[in-house]
Amino acid sequence: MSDESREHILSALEDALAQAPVASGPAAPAFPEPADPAAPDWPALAREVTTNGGRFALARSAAEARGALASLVKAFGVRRAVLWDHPALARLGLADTLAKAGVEVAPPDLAPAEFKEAASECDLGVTGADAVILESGTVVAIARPGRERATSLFPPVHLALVTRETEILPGIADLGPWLARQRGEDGRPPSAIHCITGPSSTADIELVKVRGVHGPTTLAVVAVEENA
Amino acid sequence: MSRAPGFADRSADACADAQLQANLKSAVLHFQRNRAKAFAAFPGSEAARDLVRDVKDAALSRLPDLLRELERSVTALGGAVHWARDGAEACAILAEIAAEAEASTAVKGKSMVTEEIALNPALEAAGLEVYETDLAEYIIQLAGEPPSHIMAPAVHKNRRQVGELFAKKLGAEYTEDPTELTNIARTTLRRRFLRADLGVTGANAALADSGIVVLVENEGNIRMSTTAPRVHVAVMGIEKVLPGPAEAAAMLAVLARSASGQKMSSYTSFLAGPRRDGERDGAQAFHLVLLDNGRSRILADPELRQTLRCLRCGACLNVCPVYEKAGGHAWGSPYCGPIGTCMTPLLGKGRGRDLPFACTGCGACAEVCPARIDLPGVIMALRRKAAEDPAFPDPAERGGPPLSAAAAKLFVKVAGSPGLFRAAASLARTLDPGLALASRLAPGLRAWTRTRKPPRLRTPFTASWPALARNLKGQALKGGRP
Repeated sequence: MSDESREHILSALEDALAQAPVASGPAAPAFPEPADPAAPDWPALAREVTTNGGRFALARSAAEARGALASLVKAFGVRRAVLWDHPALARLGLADTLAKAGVEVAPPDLAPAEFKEAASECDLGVTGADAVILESGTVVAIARPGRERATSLFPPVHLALVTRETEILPGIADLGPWLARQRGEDGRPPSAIHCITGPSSTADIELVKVRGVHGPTTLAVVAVEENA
Repeated sequence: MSRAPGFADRSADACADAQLQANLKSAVLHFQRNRAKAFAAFPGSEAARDLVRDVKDAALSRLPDLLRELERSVTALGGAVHWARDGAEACAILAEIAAEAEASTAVKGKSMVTEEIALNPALEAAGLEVYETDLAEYIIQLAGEPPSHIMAPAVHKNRRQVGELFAKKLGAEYTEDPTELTNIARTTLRRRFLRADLGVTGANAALADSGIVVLVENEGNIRMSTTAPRVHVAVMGIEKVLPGPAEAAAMLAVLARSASGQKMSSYTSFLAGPRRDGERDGAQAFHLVLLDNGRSRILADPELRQTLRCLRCGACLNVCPVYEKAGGHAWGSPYCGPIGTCMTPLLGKGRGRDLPFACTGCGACAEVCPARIDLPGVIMALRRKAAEDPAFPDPAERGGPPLSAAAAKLFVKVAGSPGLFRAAASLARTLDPGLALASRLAPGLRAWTRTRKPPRLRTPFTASWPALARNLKGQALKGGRP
């Protein structure tokens, strides 16, 4: 059925374009000039993240980053957390902070079915951003082994760290060239890239804005200046 | 004489519903304000709209090649591509995928295209439990109603109605607090997500060069539907394929701003096939269903093909004076507002032939369309085509303008000759007292006068003009629309 439909659709489209070609051909799309890599403009990022309903903090050292995590744990009564396997998380010693605060961390060796249930029981997910977009306050997260999609989605609080591994993109248009560069050695793009712009939200009942529908109620973005 | 209910019947019901009128008014004003604010703070917005128009036109002009490239890319990622000529084929493909995966429950992200093909009843007939997971879609699924807005499908319901619905259908304690109601839906649906076998979504775009499917949302239900279940099926209209990431970024720069006034929606996901070795979540199998359902026919018409540029942002609905009064259900189609007026008759099945006649021609929709679709131009072309060919685009339904071609020709003749016009006016003045009665008795005239007062012809227009002019001037001074 599908093969026959495929031929039918493709030949219908070819006939459509042959019998009524676009008169002069459409104008070649004039894409904006790619912007230069941006300097980390924390006030701009802070403004956009908070406009989107997120929280922003700047940590000027690893100790300040640990402090930001500790205060988040306290503020939201975090008891269980799920973490990305990410060099910045290890470098900043965040697991120790969680252990000291008595927070149970989801083991990294859970099988997929168990991981799904465990992540859904967590109050906090911690990721490291692969990129941020200054124009919109967007945090970009690439899924990889050890960097699960659920970490930024299932728990009610998502902490995204902006670190030296994070690329700073000035505008939404810069997402195009950035995405084009995200290809593995096999030439394939990562299985999932998520652009996260504020907490999960809805306005489906009488247009009243409610934060925290199926994803996090709270998005905390902490930018870390490690060698300042 | 009975006939199928059309736009006129459905909109009359909507206009008589005071609650709906209030909901609609506040909703469209809310969306209008948000979009206006976002565009006021968006330097280069006009160039960004030009770019989307050019990007979409360039993609449409090589649609067959892009679809073949997309098929190769998705297959190389380990995904499967299916082609469906119409809704019935698409539904059969989905049912087959579900059967092969031994799926018993499906969760669905909000998608216009699955409404278009009426997927839910088809999957339920195949023995699946199907749960809508977008809050508004979930509300209307529980209520057994169709969506009434592209962006906010439950915009016709107020918080009391939702509270009563959740109490009745979910056994929840009655509340009318939107936060509490949202939490009830979150808790109920979280369990569904974790147990579902199949996640079904639409797609905002797919990228030919990589096989990436782009999904845009605010709630996180689409991310849940593509993260938790074993199998992900994306259903996409064939017009949504784009060459690559630069084109996707051009679309994203205007999409959320036009829809909700956000710079970006909460979540934009770029998904490339099934999960890879060592990854612990995301679907293990990925299927992309490419749907034609009338789109190749639309592409064949140079006047109408720009309709295929649509990003489904809903901005045209929010500025449409007809939508504001009639509401989405009056369209009798998942696609409502100006874009629904264009899409519905073109998708065939004899639906919506009367829709192009329910347009004031005000042009507000073209002012806001991020892809610069000349919606009023398309609507006028549809009227003309319907008048020229009673079978356009599909012979299943007879419809057409209430003013017959013969009457129009007669009017042209009378209005073109001063002598004839004066004679006709004099005749009308003589017959005036009988006109109201005649319009009640003659079925042909009644179609015209049902929603219009018969004109008072006894007084010549020159005599009633001074009062009319005073009235108009008064309204202009008050700043109201005459």
